Amino acid sequence: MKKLNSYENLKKLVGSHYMQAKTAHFFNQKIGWVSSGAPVEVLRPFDIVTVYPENHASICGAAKQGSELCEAAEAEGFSRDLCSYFRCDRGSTLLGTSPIGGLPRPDFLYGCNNICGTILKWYEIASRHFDVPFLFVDTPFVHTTMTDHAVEYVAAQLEEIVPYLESLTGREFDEQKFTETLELSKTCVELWKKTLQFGAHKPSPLTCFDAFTQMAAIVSLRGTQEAVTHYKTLNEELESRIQKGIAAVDNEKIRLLWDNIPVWYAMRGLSELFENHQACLVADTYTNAWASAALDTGNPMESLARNYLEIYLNISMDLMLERIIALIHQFDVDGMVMHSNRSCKPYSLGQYDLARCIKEETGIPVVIIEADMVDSRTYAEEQARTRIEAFLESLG
Amino acid sequence: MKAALTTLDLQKYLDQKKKTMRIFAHFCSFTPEEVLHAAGILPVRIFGSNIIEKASAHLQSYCCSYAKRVLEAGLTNPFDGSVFVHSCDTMQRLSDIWGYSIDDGFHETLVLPVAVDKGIEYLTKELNRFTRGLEVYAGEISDTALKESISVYNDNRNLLQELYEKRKGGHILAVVVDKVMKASMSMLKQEHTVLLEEFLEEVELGEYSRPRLILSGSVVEDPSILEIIEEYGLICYDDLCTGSRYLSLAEEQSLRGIARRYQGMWCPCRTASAPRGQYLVEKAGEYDADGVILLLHKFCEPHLFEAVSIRNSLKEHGYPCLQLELEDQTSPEQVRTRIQAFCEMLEG
Ligand code: SF4
Ligand code: SF4
Repeated sequence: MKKLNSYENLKKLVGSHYMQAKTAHFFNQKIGWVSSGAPVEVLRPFDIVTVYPENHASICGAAKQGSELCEAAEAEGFSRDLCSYFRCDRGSTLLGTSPIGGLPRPDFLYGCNNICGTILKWYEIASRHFDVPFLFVDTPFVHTTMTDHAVEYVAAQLEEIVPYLESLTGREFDEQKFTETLELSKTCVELWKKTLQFGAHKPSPLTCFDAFTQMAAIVSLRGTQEAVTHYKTLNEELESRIQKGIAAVDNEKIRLLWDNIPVWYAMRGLSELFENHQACLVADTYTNAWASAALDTGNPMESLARNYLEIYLNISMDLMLERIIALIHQFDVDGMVMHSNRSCKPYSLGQYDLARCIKEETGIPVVIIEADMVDSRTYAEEQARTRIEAFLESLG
Repeated sequence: MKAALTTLDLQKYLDQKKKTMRIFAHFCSFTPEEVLHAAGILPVRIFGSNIIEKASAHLQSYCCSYAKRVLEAGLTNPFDGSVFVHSCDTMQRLSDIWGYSIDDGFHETLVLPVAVDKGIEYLTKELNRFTRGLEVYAGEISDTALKESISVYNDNRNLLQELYEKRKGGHILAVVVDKVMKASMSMLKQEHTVLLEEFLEEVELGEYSRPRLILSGSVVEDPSILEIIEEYGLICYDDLCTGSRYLSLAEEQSLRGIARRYQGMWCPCRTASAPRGQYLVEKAGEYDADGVILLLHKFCEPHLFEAVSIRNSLKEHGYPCLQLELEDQTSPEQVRTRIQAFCEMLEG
């Protein structure tokens, strides 16, 4: 895989983000642990330092420390069948270790169930452990249509959080800063969308493995200037790859769509496997989950509510199918690879039926591989390899 | 004891009912059964069987056995309709999968709030959406009919509470309680009430003996586990979806009343003001229990998450706890040995 120059940039950005988090208390800043689907924009005007346990868990996974940390949570009594992001985070809290030396202690937790019910349990446990408040935004699942009462409910909860944050930080809510944050968030999402859309070019200048790495900023630094600057540079690099005719995969022959969270510890092996068959994963459903935001600064809470209600894991399968089919056409792919991820039920259950419908409606073949995002103990690598190879040969 | 409720053949009863009523499948203690009742529909809670064939084409191996069982039931014998609620991630996706693979006349998901307390307003509106949607299928559901149905359900639940009160003074076999509860979740409510009244008059209480156990978990599909447990100890109270989780009443006879009713229900899929272990500690005191058995489904996340803190708080208060994780394949002998050892330890 050809490394993007922006990779080094991102490493620095993420590094300094965690560094800032570690020194936050020294500078009298408050730290919030935030779930990936929570409307973080509400926190930014208060100058709160945010860290993302899910992102941290993915770093542990990529550094191949996932299984070890999971084991520590299991030793405490947590079942091996629980989400491995949770187990990884729990293990890291208990042992105080991780590739970045563990997350700093939170002053509060901020989570939203629009990605899963797991977040609720996970954050309840963390909140008891650290004895800090848990601000929970309840985002009713979008079963086929988004209802007005769901939007009202979420918007009202966001309004209610503001006075709490005021008393926590001793600052007043600064409307202007809030508007700036929303603008930055919107710009960031637009830039990210553009990043991903480069994958539609033939040959594609990036693979979804690049996107998996590059998404760290859209997840954890949404609503900041740093993230905006980063994605501008990244997009320039991708633009210039296209101009120079540089493809992410030499002689790209097969174009694929990936579904689900990456298998973090197996990224290198998988990307080589696809590359060897001149197959490029040009898009994925995961990183695209952060590529839609129609924020309306005139009506901020309601528009945040709408945007965060319809994120990918909070919508029913008919809506997921619509988005998948749109990606298939937009990126003109020849096949789809689904990661059946035993940790993440809202993402994985339903894949069998989705695969069937995709085949029926678009004619493209789908292969399903069984794995887990950070717990490598459940991954049968050889089996996955064989399946993928057979699939690619049938396409090639 | 010869009360008709204890010898009832539920399957036969339902086969009869099918001829005159529309039957809807439901899967959770949060189903607004009262609304279905008011629409002249019979809500039947599905437990399925442990033979899974067709469902494997739709659900991965790491999905809980309850979801597999009910999907299998639906694929084998379709109902007139199905009502899901957003209970946990698995059941929410199962609702979608059901919609993709089973063609029933009515299929709807009530999207529950996770935070019932702050979500009452939302939930009332959601119940209203649900009701209006059902009207399209079943015809008008008047406020009077709804009030009627709510009081029919309250009457029944009052009697069920009486049953649980009785358990404090002497023993009622857990399989019998299970049968009464499951019949209540599937029979036409007023018909169950008649049988339940008779049952409560005739029920003889067994000896009050030790060890006394609380059984906590989600659904118990197969009552044979109850028999195994009661070979060694007595189940004096349960904290189950197929048991006490069903008891709370609707104080107002309206959709808001139904919404409020859910506030009183202890379910790990909802936000909690206090850890669930505390609730069990209280109940253990109230029912004079010696220990707790946690009966969990493999892959059931909400309950597996709670288990650690439940065990810790029970331990802190001196209540021993045995955790059983059941899969349909678990060998009964292994389970039996562990239950026996646990009860012997309690008798100490
Ligand atoms: S991996 Fe899935 S279950 Fe785990 S936190 Fe993320 S969305 Fe939730
Ligand atoms: S555990 Fe909760 S959500 Fe699940 S069936 Fe029981 S009451 Fe319903």
